[in-house]
Formats: sequence, C-alpha cells, structure tokens
Amino acid sequence: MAVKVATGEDTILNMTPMIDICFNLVIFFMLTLDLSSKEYEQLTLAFADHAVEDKDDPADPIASRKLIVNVLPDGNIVLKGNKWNLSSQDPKEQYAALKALQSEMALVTADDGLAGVKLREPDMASKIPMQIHGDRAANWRYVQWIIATASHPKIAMYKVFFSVKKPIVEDAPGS
Amino acid sequence: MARNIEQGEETQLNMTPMIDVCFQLIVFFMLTLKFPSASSRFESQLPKDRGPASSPAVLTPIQDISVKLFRKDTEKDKTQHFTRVRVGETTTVDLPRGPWPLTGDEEEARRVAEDKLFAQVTDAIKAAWSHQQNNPEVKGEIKTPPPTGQLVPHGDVMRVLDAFVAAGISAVNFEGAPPPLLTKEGGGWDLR
Repeated sequence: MAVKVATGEDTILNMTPMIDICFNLVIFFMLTLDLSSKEYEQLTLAFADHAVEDKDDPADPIASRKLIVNVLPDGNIVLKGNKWNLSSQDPKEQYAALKALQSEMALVTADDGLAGVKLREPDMASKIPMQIHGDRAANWRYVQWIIATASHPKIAMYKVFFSVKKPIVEDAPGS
Repeated sequence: MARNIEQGEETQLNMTPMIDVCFQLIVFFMLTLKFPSASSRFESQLPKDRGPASSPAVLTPIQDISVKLFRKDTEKDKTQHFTRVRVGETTTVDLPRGPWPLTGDEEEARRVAEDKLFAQVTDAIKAAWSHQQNNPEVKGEIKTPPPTGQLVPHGDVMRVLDAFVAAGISAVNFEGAPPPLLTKEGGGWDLR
C-alpha cells in the first residue's frame, strides 16, 4: 500500500523549548564562570589532607592584588602570563628570571594604589600575599629561591600560600 | 491618513542569528568552564628574622623538630630516583621510586602508598613533640641540605608540611640553599 506524503506544506519546527534551554545554559555558564583562575597554570598539585580551601574574599582589595607565581615541572616560572626560565644553565637567563620575579614583587607590594588601604604593616611587612602554584614535580630549590626573594627586607612579602589539592576519598560502603 | 494594516498574516521572526549567538556563547562558556576542584592551599607566614638579609636569630633552649629531605640515586635513571625523609636522627622513610604516575588508578595507588609512609612521618613528629611535652613554642624545620636536598620535588616538601600540620605543629621553617649569586654578566643579585 502506498503511503501518502503531503507535499507543498511547510513543516514548522517549534523552536521555543530549544531557545529556553539555550538561555538556561548561557545563564548557568555565566554564573559559574570564574575569571580569577585565569592566572593559574594547569599543573599537577601535591596532595595534602590538612590544607584550607583555596578561596579569597573577592571584596578584599589586598587579596585581589595577590601575586601568583606558577612553578612548572621543568623549573620555568610563569608570572602574569610571562614565562621565565629559572632552571636555565645560562646565568644571564637565570638572572633575567630572578630579576623579573623581583620586579613583579616590588610592583605588587609598592604602597601606591589603593586609596585608604595600607598595604604594609607598621614593621613594613607587606600585607599582599604571594601564592606559589607549583607542580609537585618541580624542584624544591626553585620554590626556595622564590621564597628567599619574597622574604628579603626590601620586599618583605612574608605571607605565602602554597597551592595543594585535597585527595577525593570515596566513602567505604556502609560507613 | 489611516494606515492599512494587514490582518490575518503571521509575522515570522528570523531566529537563526539569535540561535547562532546563543550557541557561540554556550561554546565559549563551556570552554572556559572550570569545575570547582579540590584545590586547597597552605597559608604560611615567613619568619621575619630569617632570609638572605636577616637579623641574627635568637637562640632559645627549645629544640625544633627537624625533618630532612634528600633525593637519592640521582646518578641513576629517573625512574630510580627517590626521596628519603629523615625525622630527627631516628626515623627514616624512603618514598617510592620514580616520578608520579599520571594515570588515575596508578596515581591513586601511589597516593595511598605514600599516605602510609607519611603516617609514619607524622607519628615520628608527634613522638618528638611529646618528648618536649607538646610545648607550643616548638617549631618544625624542613631542611633540604644541598646538593641532593635541592633536587627534592616540591610535592614531597608539601607532604612533609602536611605531616607537621597533622601532628599539630603549624609553625614550620624552611632551610636550604640561598639563590645563586648573579650579576648581569653572570653574578650579583641586586637585592644582596
């Protein structure tokens, strides 16, 4: 038996539910967008059970000036998107990396910007924190150099955070 | 003059550009999406009487609990390198050899194995602290003496720091080698 197919009639697709879903998705992604993580490199962090949650108060002007130093597994450091070779065998290249680190620290700790907010303690220690976002495979010596640079009295950046990750432990059945 | 408005005809709105824009937005947000991971941090305060240009340290009769880290077998292949953790003069723990595996199951197995080893480190720190009647003024010290201590992976130092915090000691100093002396021609660091 032949099936009759109607021709000449336009099939109108109801787009309303799809547009609704699209808008919902857009709103969801907009709300979950975290632009603050853009300075962090994708690294494999060390495990630590007793660390605190890595969260800054967005309203805190001091936390917003935090200096993020990424330490890559090969000893390169990334500061505000710029890569510097701290592990170089060439002393000039190593000098450039340490100099960049030092300049960036001096810049963020400079008591210039925020109106009404003191960026230094009475003993001249900087209130601006530094977060060392290091790969677990990176040599400790590079992290030490970064700490030594920060702790120099001319910079006095004594508040240091270390990025780690808490292991996700699945609950045993029946627990 | 009255306008002639046709009635009975439906106005068709061309939705295609809007849907295109919506999809573009969805793709953009999906690519920039970062789910909240288990990211955490250690918040630390560096001692102000230490560092490259510090004031002389004040000697106290309290003995700090020191943990030394060394990288061993570095002359061999990378798969044979391992970290030795020594708590005081009594406890020595050797971590598994080779770099951390990157695949899920192997990485988890390594983490579990290291958890057991670092539990020994925590116990040794607790024991050393209890010898000093859990004096709150006792500090921890993580030492990475050169040359092999400087090659210890950052992740191992963080785990030792975690062991100190687990034992109840949150004041921990780091001790190692200073940065190299450099000038523009190969020496002289401006800050030194």
